[in-house]
Amino acid sequence: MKEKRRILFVDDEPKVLEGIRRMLRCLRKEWDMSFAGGGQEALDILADNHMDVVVSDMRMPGMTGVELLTQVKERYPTTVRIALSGQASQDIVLRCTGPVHQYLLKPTDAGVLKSTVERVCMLKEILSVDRLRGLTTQLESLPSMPALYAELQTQSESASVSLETLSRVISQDLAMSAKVLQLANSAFFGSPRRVSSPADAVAHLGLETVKALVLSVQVFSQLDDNARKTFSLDHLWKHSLAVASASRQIAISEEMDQEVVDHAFLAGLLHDVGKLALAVILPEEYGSTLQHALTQGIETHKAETDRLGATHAEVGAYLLGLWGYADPIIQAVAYHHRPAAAVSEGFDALTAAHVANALAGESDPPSSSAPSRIDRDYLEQLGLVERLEMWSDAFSQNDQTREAS
Amino acid sequence: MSGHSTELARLQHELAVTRNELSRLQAALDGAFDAVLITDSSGQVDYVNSAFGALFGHTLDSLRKSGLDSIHSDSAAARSIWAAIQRLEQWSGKVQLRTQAGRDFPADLHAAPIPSKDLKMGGMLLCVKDLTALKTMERQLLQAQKLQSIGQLASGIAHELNTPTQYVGDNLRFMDEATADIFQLLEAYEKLLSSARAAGVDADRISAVESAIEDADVEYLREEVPKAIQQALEGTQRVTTIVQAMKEFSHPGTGQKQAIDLSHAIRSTITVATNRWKYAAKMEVDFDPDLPAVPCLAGEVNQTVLNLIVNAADAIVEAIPEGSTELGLIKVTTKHNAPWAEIRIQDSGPGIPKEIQDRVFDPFFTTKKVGEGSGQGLAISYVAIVEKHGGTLTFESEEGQGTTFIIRLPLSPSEQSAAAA
Repeated sequence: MKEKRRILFVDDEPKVLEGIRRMLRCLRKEWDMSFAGGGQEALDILADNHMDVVVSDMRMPGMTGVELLTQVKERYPTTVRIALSGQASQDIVLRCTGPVHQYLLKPTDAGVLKSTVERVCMLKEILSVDRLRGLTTQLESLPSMPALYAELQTQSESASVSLETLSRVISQDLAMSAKVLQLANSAFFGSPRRVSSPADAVAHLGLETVKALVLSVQVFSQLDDNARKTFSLDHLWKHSLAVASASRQIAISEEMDQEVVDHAFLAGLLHDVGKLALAVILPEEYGSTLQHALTQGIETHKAETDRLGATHAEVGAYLLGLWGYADPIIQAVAYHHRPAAAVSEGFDALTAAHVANALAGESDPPSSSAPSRIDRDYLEQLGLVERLEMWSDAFSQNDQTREAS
Repeated sequence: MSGHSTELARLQHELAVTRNELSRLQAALDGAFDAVLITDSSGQVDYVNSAFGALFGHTLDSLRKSGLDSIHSDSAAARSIWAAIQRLEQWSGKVQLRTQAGRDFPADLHAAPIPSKDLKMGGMLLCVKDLTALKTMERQLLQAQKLQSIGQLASGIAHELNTPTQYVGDNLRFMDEATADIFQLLEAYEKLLSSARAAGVDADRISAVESAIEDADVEYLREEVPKAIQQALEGTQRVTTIVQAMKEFSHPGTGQKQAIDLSHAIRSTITVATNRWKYAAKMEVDFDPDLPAVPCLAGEVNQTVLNLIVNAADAIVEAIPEGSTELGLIKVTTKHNAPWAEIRIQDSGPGIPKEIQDRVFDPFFTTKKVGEGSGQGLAISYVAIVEKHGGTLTFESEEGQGTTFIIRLPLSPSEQSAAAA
């Protein structure tokens, strides 16, 4: 029998807890639920019981939700942290962008609560290595390129800075892009909006929020010197951009609707975000793994599996899942090296990202390890193999225009 | 002879000096910032300076023709000023004055008697300072403060409503599932009952159960309980939507432009204003799915759309005969009309009469009864859209056909800054 999910709900209003308990009674066979009336009580329960997910109110007397979830993060790394709050104050919302993975606004529909918790629990299946999962769950931000990080700080401090300037800086950095896309797509700052690019996300958040995120909350960080020795952020960024635009181009050439095109673009942009995560959580180990791939001439993800037990694809997908990214993006990121392992009903964002990544790998400078290969069997199964030539042409044209510009 | 000629020369010189001084004085008066008017002892206007001409639209001739009283919208004030002057007293105060075109405006007025040589009343000097801009600013500030505190209250209330709405919804959801389970169980019992009846067990107990089923009207409960719960759930959903709309509408402005989904914002505003239009009109919306996010001050744009919807509803009510249950139509559309985002708010009201069309954006201009409208709505909206966004706010109106107000907001920030510069 499948193991039961273990969920802890925390709220200072007993009626809310009772309501949730009754409402989720239908899941009593799948979920093992605990309830705490405050932060201390929650920590007491956690001391004796492992929890997969904590769902906490934010404004509570005594220990606030932010304080509770920060402690949970430090003490119980693999526990996923979700806010369920009616609190609209910008200040509290800003402070919880770090320790909180996902933000649900009260009143939350029963279906949304169930599916949010269920989805983060399922992520365990994507990244099954406990050590990596714990370290990734603790991660609050991804490292940015130091030069861009410094520029963003300076610009944000300037009184006359415009949204366009911040948007330009953020749109040039993988970590910053990933974070603003997460926040704009979530209920942290009002109703979520489907944004399709980092610039859209910045525009949706607005100048004041972005400045506050940079200066007072510090959701962005930079790659430390240690990791920089083994890891080229610059190269990763160029590759991500190339894959993103090729992936979008491929989706467009298949006449997909706008949502699939957006997902293809974002999956392409974020497909290697797991490399960033690994560079922060295991700087030395990951450095030697990359070195290993290079000296052996094997694909990076093979070296990662050998040394770490999982690949950057899984780590990235897991992180994006925690951050509430849409399922097609998570799936595309998780399986971009082995699309055949995913459940698929035809062309989707995964197809686009997989092909784009392989095509971009072929044109990458041979500084890195062996390039990824296209899974022709997978394309054959989808009946798309004859499209490959056209995609390849589209890619090389795209590549040339990019280089020319 | 020589004595005469020196005397003449002296007089001529004196005259020249006096003339020179007079023209200097007149130039000074003409250049004065405030409007100045001088009358003779009978109240006949002798002189107006150019500021007066510009403010009132009068020339000396036209004012002489219509008489001094015509600049007052309040004749009682005019009389008490003149009475003070007769007593050789000064008069200062705030008054409502009227331009030649008939526009009333608030002003600071200072009147002083000009004594004649024999110390009688020889005329009157009037100085007028136009207070329109000041009053407008005061009103707008007040209005802004009022809106801000309403906004804070609204978002506080919204927050307070969220928690009970959460558990009301959760409990209803639970009751929905639980009653379904109970009714299923009941069905099983009913089968048991009929088997028991067939087997002839304990007739007394069976008839007790049967009458209990009848008393409880189980058939009715089976029909109505799930419906009751469904409707209660719909009700909480409605409350949620309204609270959400209220929160979004009263979104505290950061004073910075933010790219918003205009159609979504308008939908929230329509929800917030429901009470103001639903007894007057049906609401139709048609939102352009291709409209990109619009960089704007959400609070100001929401307020403008609200003003226009309320005005549309009021215009329709005016045209509907009393006692009629007939409803008008308000149609709100958005369109991507590059380089603009365009919002149209169309009503089936009586239209704006031609003669007042060029005054609708004037501050204090209102066609509503005293106490119903401040006359500030459209003027504030105009400032919000045109000055703060570099957009346009216009209308098309035909008497008897209704009015369409058109808001255009620039989609690209460069145009906005160009307009603001």
